[in-house]
Amino acid sequence: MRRAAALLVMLGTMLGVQTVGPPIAASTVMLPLGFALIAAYLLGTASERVRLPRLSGYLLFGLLCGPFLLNLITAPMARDLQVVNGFALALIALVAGLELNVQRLRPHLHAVGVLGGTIMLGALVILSGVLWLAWPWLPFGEVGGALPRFAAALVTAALIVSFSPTVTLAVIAESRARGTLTELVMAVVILADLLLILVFALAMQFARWTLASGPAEVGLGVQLSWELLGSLAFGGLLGVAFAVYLRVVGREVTLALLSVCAVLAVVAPLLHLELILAALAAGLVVENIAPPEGDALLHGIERGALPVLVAFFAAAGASLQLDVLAVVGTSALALAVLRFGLIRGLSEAAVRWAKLSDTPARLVWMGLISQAGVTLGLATIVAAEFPAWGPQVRTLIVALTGLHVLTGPILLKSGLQRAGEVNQA
Amino acid sequence: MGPDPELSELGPDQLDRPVETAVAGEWRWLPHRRLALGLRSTPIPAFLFVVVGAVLGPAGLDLLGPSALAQVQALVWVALAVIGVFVGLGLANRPVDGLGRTYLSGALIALVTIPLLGGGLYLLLVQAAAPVAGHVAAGAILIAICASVSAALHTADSDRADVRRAAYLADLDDVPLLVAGVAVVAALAAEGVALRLAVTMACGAATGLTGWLLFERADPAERGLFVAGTVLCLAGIGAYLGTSPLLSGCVAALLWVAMPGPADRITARDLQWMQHPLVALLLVIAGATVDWSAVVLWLTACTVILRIAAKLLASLAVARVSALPPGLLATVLLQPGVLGIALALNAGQLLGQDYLWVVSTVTVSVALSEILAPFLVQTYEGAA
Repeated sequence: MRRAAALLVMLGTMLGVQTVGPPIAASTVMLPLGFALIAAYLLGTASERVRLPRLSGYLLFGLLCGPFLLNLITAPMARDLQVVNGFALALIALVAGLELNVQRLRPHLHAVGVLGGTIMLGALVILSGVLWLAWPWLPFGEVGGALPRFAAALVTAALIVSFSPTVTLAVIAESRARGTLTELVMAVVILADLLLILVFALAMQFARWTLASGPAEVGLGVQLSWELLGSLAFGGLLGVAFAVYLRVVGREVTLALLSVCAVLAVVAPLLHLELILAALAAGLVVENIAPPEGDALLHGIERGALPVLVAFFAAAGASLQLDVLAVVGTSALALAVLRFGLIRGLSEAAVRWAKLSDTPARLVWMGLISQAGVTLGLATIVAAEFPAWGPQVRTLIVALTGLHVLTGPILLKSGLQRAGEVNQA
Repeated sequence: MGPDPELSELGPDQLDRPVETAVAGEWRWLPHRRLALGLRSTPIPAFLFVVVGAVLGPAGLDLLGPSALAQVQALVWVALAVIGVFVGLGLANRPVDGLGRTYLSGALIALVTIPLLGGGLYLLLVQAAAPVAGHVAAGAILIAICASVSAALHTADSDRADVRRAAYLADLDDVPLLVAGVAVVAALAAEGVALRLAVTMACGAATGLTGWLLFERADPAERGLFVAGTVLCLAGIGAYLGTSPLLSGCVAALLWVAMPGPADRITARDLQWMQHPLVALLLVIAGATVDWSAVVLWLTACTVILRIAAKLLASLAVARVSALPPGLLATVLLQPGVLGIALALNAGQLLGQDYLWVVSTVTVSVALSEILAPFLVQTYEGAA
């Protein structure tokens, strides 16, 4: 009752400020951030009571209060809120790395390879074919002959197939989940993320060649190696330094952890590294070379991670573009259904093929529905590079991401509950 | 999610008392908190941080240039909100006699000091035709308001009732100064000042109410989130409306003090870890912002001298009403407060470069006054 009253008072306060506004000061980030921390968290705990992930509550808060509905968080505010993104991504991925113990994962490596490879590559091939055939009826515009159309379909399929390590890892972190399914889902999502970067880069190169939109990059291999291996190496080095700090000093752990996240968030983009991979590698190294410290750290940061998670997903909800959903809603819905069917069908096929039906592997598909920031980032690259059809593809991806970011966490939480792995960490 | 076990362990009777009191068994928490905040004389004086800021700033090593200063502006707003909260919490029930008389005295001090200091500065500025930008009279009043802030010395936890009351007076006059300062800044910043001030206070109170509803029954992790969210909202309200987070923070804290329950103590305890770094940051930024021009140095000298004169006269004027010795009052009132610098920085944020001379004068004069004050106190204590 007190919480409901507090939520109402907060809403009234925001309305009051908005009515008297417009903003006079340059900085508008504090008000929406404070509002989001309190109100999104309250909505998150309320959604937990109806057995939904808290994260869905945070997203729902952003969606409801964002620029397209109540407009309590205006478009500039929503943009300012993104300031927490880099830091939040680093923290979420670091926590995920701390959950990945290679020794515990070793018995499941076969399952991870079969599931990840089958779902990712199978879906990519089928979706590329479907998109190539259906391209004239989709709202993408003309691309030319059969080969250019295939290249465009391949790029679009890579975007549609992609998963969201961020959302998956965040649901696992906030559910305090631990167990076989948790580790399988994380490993598959991370493997798929690595594959996605590789496939996307190759597909883009193919599209550039067929569509002649720009010079093909000679140094693609170098660039890819740098992005993948460089990220892992940078994160690994940072992880070693952090593990040494934990063993030797072992004090002010939260401050040190936040510093590591800040370094990752600032340095990775400067060096053109993949932030999630680097942070994952750092967490992985800490967990696997200093396990007791890694576990203690994991428990220690759960408290500190809460505001970051709340702010990050409230911001994500506020930036969901509902107007886009209205424009390409039908196509997006059809593709979302197709993607859902492919992930589920290919997952079941992989489970049967690898004889994993008695294990939680049969629930892994439930953790592969989410899509979020990485997909949108890649779609933006496509829009910029292929102005003839890229912007339309981006619009579709924005709509798809909106659908998947809302439904994905619910499915994953449900899967974790069915596997009995919630609140086991 | 249950309530904080630390609070439950205190027991219901202890919950009605300050957390620190319940733990330590002494009523020493408020002065100590203000000491930690830097609102009164500390072993590491504000002066030191201002000097560090000046050395790092554009006039020194230029490590804290305009772009770096712009990047930490959000932290400055948060620091202002935290200071506002502690100003409000500082007015919590204090063990002083004759509370009504004390309130009247507090108001009188502000009424005597501001016109004397502001009027004097205005006359000097006009007569010297000083080359300052912006509205000269408003700038002079702003300097007077900011420089008039007093902070209790190490007397607030004294065993003597008259010394405690004098210390409380020094705290009390913060509030009218804060309101007046914010009103002047808001009036200079944009139109519709009365409405924006009213909304700032109303929204500050509403945010305080939210905190009051949430803090007590939250577990430690979520309470940290609620306190952080509340402080950010208080900072954001002032920033968004172009008034001051000091005001919204102060109003919220006054509400926590007035409402039943431990919200005020919870906030004080949970904000403790961030108060000192934030205040230090604020002082360093103030030091880096100072424009070391001849006009500012001349104005600083005038402000320090006029401030001493105004405070002495205010002590004489209020002595009868407060039934306190003027010597004791003067020594307490002469000590400058960091709140003055915070208010000036707030003015600088909202008014821009035109009023940089105001921010600079206040910052340097508060730092100088802090160096001078201990000598005067020692003189008084020696005589007593």
